[in-house]
Amino acid sequence: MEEKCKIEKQSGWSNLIKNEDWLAVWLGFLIIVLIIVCYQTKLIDLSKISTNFKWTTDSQIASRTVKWKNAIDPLMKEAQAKGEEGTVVRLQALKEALDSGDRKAILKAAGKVENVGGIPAELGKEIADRSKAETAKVFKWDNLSNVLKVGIAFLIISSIGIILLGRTIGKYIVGFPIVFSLAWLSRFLAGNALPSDWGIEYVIFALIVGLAISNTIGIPEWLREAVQTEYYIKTGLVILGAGLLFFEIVQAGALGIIQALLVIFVVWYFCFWLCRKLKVDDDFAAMLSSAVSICGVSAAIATCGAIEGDKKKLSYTTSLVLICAVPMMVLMPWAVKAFGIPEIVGGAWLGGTLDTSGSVVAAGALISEPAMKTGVIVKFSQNALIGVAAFILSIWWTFKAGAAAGQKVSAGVIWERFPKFVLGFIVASAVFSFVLPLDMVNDTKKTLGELRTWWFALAFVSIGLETRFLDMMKMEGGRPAAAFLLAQSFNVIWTLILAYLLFGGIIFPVPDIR
Amino acid sequence: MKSMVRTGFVIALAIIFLASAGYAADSKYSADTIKKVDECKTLKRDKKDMAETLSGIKNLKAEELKSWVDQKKKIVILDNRPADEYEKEHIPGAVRLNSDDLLEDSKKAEQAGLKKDDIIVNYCNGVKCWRSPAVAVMLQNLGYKNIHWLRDGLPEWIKKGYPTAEGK
Repeated sequence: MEEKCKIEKQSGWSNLIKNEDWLAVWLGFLIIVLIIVCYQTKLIDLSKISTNFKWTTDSQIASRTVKWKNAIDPLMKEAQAKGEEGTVVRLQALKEALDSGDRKAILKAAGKVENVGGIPAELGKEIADRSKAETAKVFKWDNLSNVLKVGIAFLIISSIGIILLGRTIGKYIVGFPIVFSLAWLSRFLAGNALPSDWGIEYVIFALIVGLAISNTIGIPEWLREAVQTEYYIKTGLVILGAGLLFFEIVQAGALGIIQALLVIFVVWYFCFWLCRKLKVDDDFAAMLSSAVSICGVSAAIATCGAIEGDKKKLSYTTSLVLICAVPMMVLMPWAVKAFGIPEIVGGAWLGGTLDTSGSVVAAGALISEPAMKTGVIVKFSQNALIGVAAFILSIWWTFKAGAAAGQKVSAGVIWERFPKFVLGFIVASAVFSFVLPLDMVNDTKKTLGELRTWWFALAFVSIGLETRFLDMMKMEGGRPAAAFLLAQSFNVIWTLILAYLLFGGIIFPVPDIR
Repeated sequence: MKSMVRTGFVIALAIIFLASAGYAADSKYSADTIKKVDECKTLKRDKKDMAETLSGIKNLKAEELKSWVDQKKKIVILDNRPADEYEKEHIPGAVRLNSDDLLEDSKKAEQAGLKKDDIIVNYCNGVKCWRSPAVAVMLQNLGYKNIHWLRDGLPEWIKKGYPTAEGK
């Protein structure tokens, strides 16, 4: 007998402390308030929260010497032509220091070039950063102790949420340190000069580390409770709100909603039509279509509830979404870079096609910060429409069933399905844009960014840990999967066209996101 | 439960506002000056260039400053940056008057030994640095008469190959 999805009645105020979305909002706010209090009272030195992950070995410095010297030559010629004697002298000194191979001397000379400003300063900074980043520094106690402090603080804060959510706190407390250590490992590996040069970020390492474990030894039952992708990513996203100017959200959000409407209607219908051609039943087709066009898991769940579909089909759809997301979130940023797609367009493209918030952040971070922010805003615009889609679908399905079921359709579903953490994100941005003094905003920016990165790293490790490629093989009947993949490909192309039109400066001016 | 959540929310908001109330610029400055300083900071935040000119403040180029120094003209050069940047490198003879310090406490100007008629030159890290225009505007508000702004800042000075100093 098949188990049906029921519309869970989520009502009342108790939701505020029992729903994952709301808890992510409170957790994010709590962290932001704590940081502000620490900043104001100088209770904790905020610089003691950020961890240094950069390391370059001596041989890596040596292997880069030629490249750096080649970069210096044209800058020297240019400075000579402009009559900037000071710049020439400093660049020459840097070349000599590089020849000597002495890290301290290189650091000093590069520091001098940094003060020149302009393009030479950028090169100077790169060389200074690399020569400064001695491997031993990462393992110094005052650096490692920062990691430990953040880890313990996160464990305490997130445990409150886990208790309120009614999950097994004992297992969580045992599992969290493991997930956190894996997050540290990913950031450490990404901190080396080689991956940095290749533009390979902690995102990739977190996924690889997670995937390697789940697809070989598998994850033990007790660890499962600490693999909370959604919980981590939502908390991180609420904190991200503090780093975004309100007008950036409004600007990109307005375009995002236009894009979302065009994506959802066209892609949903295309997928549904495709499913019928491939003889996939209507219930399944509706779930798959929502997953492809709106936003993966949560949309599929909402749709399943709206049409009272089969739970097995839901879990099939969910696995498809999760597995499909991994290659997409690596390949799409690569495509953006390889084909020189503008970063804002790239962000909008990711936000419109990738199905989970986590994968949008991960993929966006692989391009650039503005791309990630644009992606998140566009994604949120789409997420906000889940409720509307669920509403329309439940009306449609009621008519299909000939209204025999006598089920009542209520517009309340629009609010019920609204992703509440988006509100936290918007409030955080509004407070940081309008209420707090500029200095406070600027001085807490780095720390909040660092904490946000930790949450994201936890989420990305979790994505890896919960993605089992083996599950894909086990799925019976390839037709729904084929429909999903075909529709997803269509989605990728259609959204890219829309992203170019809307965010590429063709119809509207390019949103100013930094 | 309802009231508990509400109380929590109110407490959180109260903390945010109390925390922000602790921050204040010196009340000696006029609203207009604070506004101008905030404009500089906003430009900095948005990674934009500072204004080309500031009303009542004279722009200065590195060459002019160098010739003043060579002529041993009686001037006060103010480095408006934080201590670590000053120690790393500064224009020889420059006195440190940090923009954050001056904003919090207007007495810092006197303490740095400034007289109202002094020929004052402010500099920091060039066109994207908010500190020197902000200090210039604050000093103007405090009644200093002869204020100059080295808009291109230390980078321009270095590019010309002029000497610099390091340390305290």
